[in-house]
Amino acid sequence: MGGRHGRLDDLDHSDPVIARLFPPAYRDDDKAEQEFRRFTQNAQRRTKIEQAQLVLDALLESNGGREAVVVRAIDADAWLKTITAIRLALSVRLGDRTAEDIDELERLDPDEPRGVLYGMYEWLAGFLDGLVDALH
Amino acid sequence: MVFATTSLLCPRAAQCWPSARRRPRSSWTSWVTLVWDDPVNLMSYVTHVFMTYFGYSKSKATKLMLQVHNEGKTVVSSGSREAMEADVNAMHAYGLWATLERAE
Repeated sequence: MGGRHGRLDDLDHSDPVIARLFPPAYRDDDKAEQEFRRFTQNAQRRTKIEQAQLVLDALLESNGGREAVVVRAIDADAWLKTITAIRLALSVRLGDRTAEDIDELERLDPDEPRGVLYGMYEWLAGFLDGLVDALH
Repeated sequence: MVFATTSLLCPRAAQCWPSARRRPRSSWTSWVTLVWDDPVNLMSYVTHVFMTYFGYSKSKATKLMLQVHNEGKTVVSSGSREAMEADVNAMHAYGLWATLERAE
């Protein structure tokens, strides 16, 4: 997504995952939207990368899952946003748009690739819920 | 005047939003931030976002979240265009979908 030295390539907004992670701010004003994007997108991207890195680092510290993954309260924001971004990306790839989609996803074989993704998607929902609960 | 008032009451709106982006006076008329329903985000998470970012009570945040859930969208804040852009930007950072528009 971004080079180590900070140069960010252009985002492909035709990719539905990108479109969902960087949705429009203006529904009816293309010019305002372009300006908003020009002003906010790079900072958003950098922040998302930092937050994802924080989560990755915490996972790596668990020594391949042999030790508990530590989620520090001070890092809660990074965890919530990173896990949410992952769920958003998964939902796009899974085609989760409506209640009907969920019915279909529920019926998937959990060992088939799409079923595996859906399992992850649901597990992450549970994790997120637990984290929000722990914060309040 | 509207922007100054918003800045005093809502510190978040004053964060780093540069006054260098000059806009005509019309941008001081009231704008609103709308949050839209989406099939992914959990009700508990959306409530958390409204409490954390806007500083709303749990009761108000839950009420707003339910409005989003039941009606498809709701107004979560109002103020100057610049302040609403900041709010929309923050909502997007949380993975919610938000837009801004002129108040009716």
